Amino acid sequence: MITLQHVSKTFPARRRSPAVTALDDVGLRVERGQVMGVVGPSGSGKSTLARIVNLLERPSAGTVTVDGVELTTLGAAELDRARRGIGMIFQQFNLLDSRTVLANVELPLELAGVGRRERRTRAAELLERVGLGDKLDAHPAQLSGGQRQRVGIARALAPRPKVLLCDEATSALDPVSTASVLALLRTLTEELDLTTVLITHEMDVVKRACDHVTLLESGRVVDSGALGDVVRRPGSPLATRLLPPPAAPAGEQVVEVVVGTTEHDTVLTDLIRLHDVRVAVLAGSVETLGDQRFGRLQLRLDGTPGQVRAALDHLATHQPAVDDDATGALADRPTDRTLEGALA
Amino acid sequence: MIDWDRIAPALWQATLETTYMVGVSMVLAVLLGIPLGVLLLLTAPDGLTPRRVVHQVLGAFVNVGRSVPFIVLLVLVAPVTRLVTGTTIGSTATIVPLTIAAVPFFARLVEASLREVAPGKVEAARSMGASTGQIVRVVLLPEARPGLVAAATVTLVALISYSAMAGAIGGGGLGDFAIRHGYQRFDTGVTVAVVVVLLVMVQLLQSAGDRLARRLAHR
Repeated sequence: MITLQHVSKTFPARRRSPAVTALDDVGLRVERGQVMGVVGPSGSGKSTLARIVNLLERPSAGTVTVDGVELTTLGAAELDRARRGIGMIFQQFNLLDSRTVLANVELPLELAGVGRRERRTRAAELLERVGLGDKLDAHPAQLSGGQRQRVGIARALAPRPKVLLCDEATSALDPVSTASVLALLRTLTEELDLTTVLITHEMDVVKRACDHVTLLESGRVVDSGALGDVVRRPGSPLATRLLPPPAAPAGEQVVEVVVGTTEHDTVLTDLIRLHDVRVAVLAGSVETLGDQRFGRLQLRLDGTPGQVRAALDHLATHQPAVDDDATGALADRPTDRTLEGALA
Repeated sequence: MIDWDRIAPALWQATLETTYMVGVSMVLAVLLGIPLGVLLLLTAPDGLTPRRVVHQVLGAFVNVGRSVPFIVLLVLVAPVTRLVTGTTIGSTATIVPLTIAAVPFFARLVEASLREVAPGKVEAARSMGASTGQIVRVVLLPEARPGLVAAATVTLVALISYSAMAGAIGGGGLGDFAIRHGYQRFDTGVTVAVVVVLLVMVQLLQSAGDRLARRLAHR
């Protein structure tokens, strides 16, 4: 649904500030219906990335394709039309203070030339849907932050977009509003079959609202994939942030495994069934990521050195969804190195 | 002692003239100043449609208009005034220099008010596929309305003071009246009466403007 290919964005040098490369050869694919979280430290280019998708920022190089249309080739009028298929919500909401809540939601329809009565009906219906059916005639200044963002969501969805861009949509909200806005986003994206890109600096937002995640650092994609895959990928910088390692038990020789709750997650069962080792769980942390739960377990394997080695090999090759590249990284992790050392 | 029976009708007449001059030039300042202010904003280097040359020409025109002292402008544009109104004396003639002074003044204030509109709102409108014209009509002007009202109030007050200056060269209105009846006849009472009328006018306009701006702000 959204494809970025070799996208770079350089902001030219200005007086007193040198040129800045915000994005450097970024590739990104978001399939229909996915909720892609884009995370990264501030200055990593994530906000630029969101603005590239609807071409609020024009890339210096590369192509942007949304819903089969290559936006980078469109003229101004065609681009305006294409943007109506891409809703966007903002950290600062960006509602118009001069308009009522209802008129704010009508705005995108008005711009698209939809008739007055149809606009009203659609806007009122959406406001009802986001829980603000009683605030139609209020002005944004009279609403709380969470309510304003709900208006922002209703406004973005009014023209029935296929894609929704969220730029730090919950960063200005308190924890309670954040939770309810994220829950609302999650139900709406599912109900309306929206393809969503969610820019955030909070890993918690990714855990709660996304099914895919991409990590940007200094304008480059460092890590990307489905939550379930990323979390199991040894050496992945996202994995430990999504599912932090438990406090390591002192002085023990441990091996770490990541397990999920689907029927394909048989790694622990197989380990015990196929290998003659005793398995002790020394520590573990459990997280809900999207609609699945994952655990990061630290195990101690007891048995003869040969049995333990065979069991470790089994783990290294049978961690589900571990790609070839990443398997090698397992050996580089300190916990394994101490274990290897102990075995040698 | 002031002969109120003689002075009062004339003072009232002068007040009406001032209201007429200031009112008409204000309407013209709004009609011309808003588009000019919008153009200044849009063509700026960081505007929605940057046009270097247009911006510099407009900027120069506005700056020249604002830097010429009004009393000099009055004399300077006299030929234009005669061309437009057929005379340089009286309140209708004064409308010409008043408008010429007010348009650039108001345009700068309009530009500044529009600049106050949060860039995020413009960005949101762009994300909805708004054209530049739509952004001006639907976002910039409505959102800047409180600032525009404040700018219009400031311009009105400046126009009242300018119009009084026009009295020095026979421009009609309260300034003219104060010079002819107060200054030239050594009747300080009349001058004071004119000052009081001007004060009341400015006070009423300013508080009405403030009240309107507040009501439009919705904050």
